[in-house]
Amino acid sequence: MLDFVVKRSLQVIIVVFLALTAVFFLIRLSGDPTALFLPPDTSREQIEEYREILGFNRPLYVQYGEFVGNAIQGDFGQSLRSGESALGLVLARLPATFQLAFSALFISLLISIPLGVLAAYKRNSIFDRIAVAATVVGQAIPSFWLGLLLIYTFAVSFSLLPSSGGGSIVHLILPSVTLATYSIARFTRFTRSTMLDVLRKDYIRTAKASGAPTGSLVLKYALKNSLIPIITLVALDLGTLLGGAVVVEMVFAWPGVGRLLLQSLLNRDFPIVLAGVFIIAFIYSIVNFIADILYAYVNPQIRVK
Amino acid sequence: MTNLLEVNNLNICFRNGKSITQPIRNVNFTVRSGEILGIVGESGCGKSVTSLAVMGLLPPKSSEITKGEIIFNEQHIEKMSEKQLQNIRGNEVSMIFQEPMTSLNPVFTIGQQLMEPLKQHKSLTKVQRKERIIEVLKQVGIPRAEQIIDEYPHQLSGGMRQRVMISLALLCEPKLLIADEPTTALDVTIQAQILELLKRIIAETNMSMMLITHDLGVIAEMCHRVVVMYAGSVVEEASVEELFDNPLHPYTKGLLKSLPSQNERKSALYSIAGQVPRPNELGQGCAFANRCEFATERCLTAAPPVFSVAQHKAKCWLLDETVGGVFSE
Ligand SMILES: Nc1ncnc2c1ncn2[C@@H]1O[C@H](COP(=O)(O)OP(=O)(O)OP(=O)(O)O)[C@@H](O)[C@H]1O
Ligand code: SF4
Ligand SMILES: [Mg+2]
Repeated sequence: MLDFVVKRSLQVIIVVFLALTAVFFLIRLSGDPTALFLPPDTSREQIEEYREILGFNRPLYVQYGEFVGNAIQGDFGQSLRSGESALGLVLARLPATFQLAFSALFISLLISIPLGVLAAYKRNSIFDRIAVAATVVGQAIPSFWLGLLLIYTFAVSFSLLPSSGGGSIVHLILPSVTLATYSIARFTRFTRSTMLDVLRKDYIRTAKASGAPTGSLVLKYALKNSLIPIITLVALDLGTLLGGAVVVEMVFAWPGVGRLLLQSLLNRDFPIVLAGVFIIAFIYSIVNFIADILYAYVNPQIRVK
Repeated sequence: MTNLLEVNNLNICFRNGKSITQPIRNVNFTVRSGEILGIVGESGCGKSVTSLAVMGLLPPKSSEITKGEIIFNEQHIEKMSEKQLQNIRGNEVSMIFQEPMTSLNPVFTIGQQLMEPLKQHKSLTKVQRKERIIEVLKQVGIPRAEQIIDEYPHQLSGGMRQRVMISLALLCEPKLLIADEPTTALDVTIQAQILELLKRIIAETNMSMMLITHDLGVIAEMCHRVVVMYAGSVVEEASVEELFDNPLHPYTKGLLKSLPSQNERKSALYSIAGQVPRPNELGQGCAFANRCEFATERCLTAAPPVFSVAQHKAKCWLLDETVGGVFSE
């Protein structure tokens, strides 16, 4: 177990390091930040002066070395605009993103697992066919488009729900439903196909031959076996869900990390971008780490090894 | 002896999309109480389908019993609702499957899995259930029964798993145990142990067993009577001694000839030439005609009925009155 934790921790560090390195060089390729936030009539000398103050005139590898050195100590520098701590700004937005992502996850699990189980159980029925068709649509709809559609329907036409902003449960409804739609469709399909697969297994036939009633075959035996792949998929998708939050945050002006990242990218506020990438990569790896532990918990074959 | 199980004129069809196959045609046999009936035949002849039908475990949507009856303990299995079947399965009839490696659920402990039939069929307290489980595990020769119940299937060897499967089948003391090739997947030495165990259990209890195999050696070792199946039909039925001493059907003769002990000195084992016809390739005549060295014109045009000579039955024109068979259907 200790071996496992050490190995996985190393992996987390490598993943985060690679993500930061890639983003660092990519944003530098896109150009110099100073020109963007200084007024257009700034003279060349003033620009040069700024570049010197901010250190952008030095060779890229020197800047990279300095960035890595500071990052290891948890220092991602200050926002080029406001001068506040970049990491602090990102962390302040984190709860909102989590709130959105986890509400969406909660909604998707609540709907997709029962739906997938039922569809598998009633395989090829009208219900199953409708469910499968709905999942195809659900996976195909782009989230920004769905977001706009929901805003138009519930906020504009019927004035039932607020279209943007954060701060209350009511504000959370439309963005989390938007974000959840894709996962609902994906998890439903996956639960259905996994259940169908498990229901064909020899050990289900054994349970049936022991007189187990259909209800416990499906809900107790088959579902527990299906949970292993389902948990894996859900955990892997958590990262995607956090990423998907970025788009949804833009549509609904939800005050999370995604929105901050996008704004900072447009403003070339590099320290914030890097701090944001760090946080997202870090959380993504940790989430997968936890997923592996959970996976080991439900799968005794791995637990023992 | 009374008949515990009677399978009369059983016909089973499978539907796959638009195509319909009929792997079981007019199957008749009986299992008497306390006996071990062997069912032998090549792969694909319908042994497993027949035994699943007795358990009421055929896939409900894609298969159908088109004709015939399965009478177990005076109840019609083929007419039972799923609910009624659940009350019988694991309780009055149990089944052991061929694949011990995949027949136990990997995410439940042995104990949890053995609880199921007891919960389902017996009103016992938790403590009594555990006692019963340990008792049966010991009966099937599992050492450390108390520890095993908390272990998972992957921690056990194939032979141990098959013993667990047997104990699962025995928990509620069924009247009939169906063992579908219970040892095919195991090492030779383990095979012998498991067969010995089954034989001992049948002798100690009042249980009957339907032992399915394609190994005549196992039949000789274990069974009282034998049913030989070919291409979805029963072609011969007799007591073990009678079948080995005096096989009547050319297919049975071929099977016996291919036993290693009878042609040890030959370099290659004898095997029956040709292929078993698939269910959809069966024509008018005898299903074995394309491989039979005694086939006549009549065999190709008309399927033989079942003839009997005393307690011995065979489905072959060779037993026509001229040889002394009596048309028994
Ligand atoms: N679910 C099914 N759907 C369609 N056809 C099936 C199904 N199960 C079995 N069959 C067919 O029924 C026939 C008999 O199969 P069965 O499994 O009973 O053979 P078997 O005698 O048990 O052979 P083996 O020794 O290989 O186990 C085969 O032709 C098989 O293809
Ligand atoms: S009926 Fe004819 S073909 Fe069939 S087994 Fe008998 S002799 Fe052979
Ligand atoms: Mg079989």
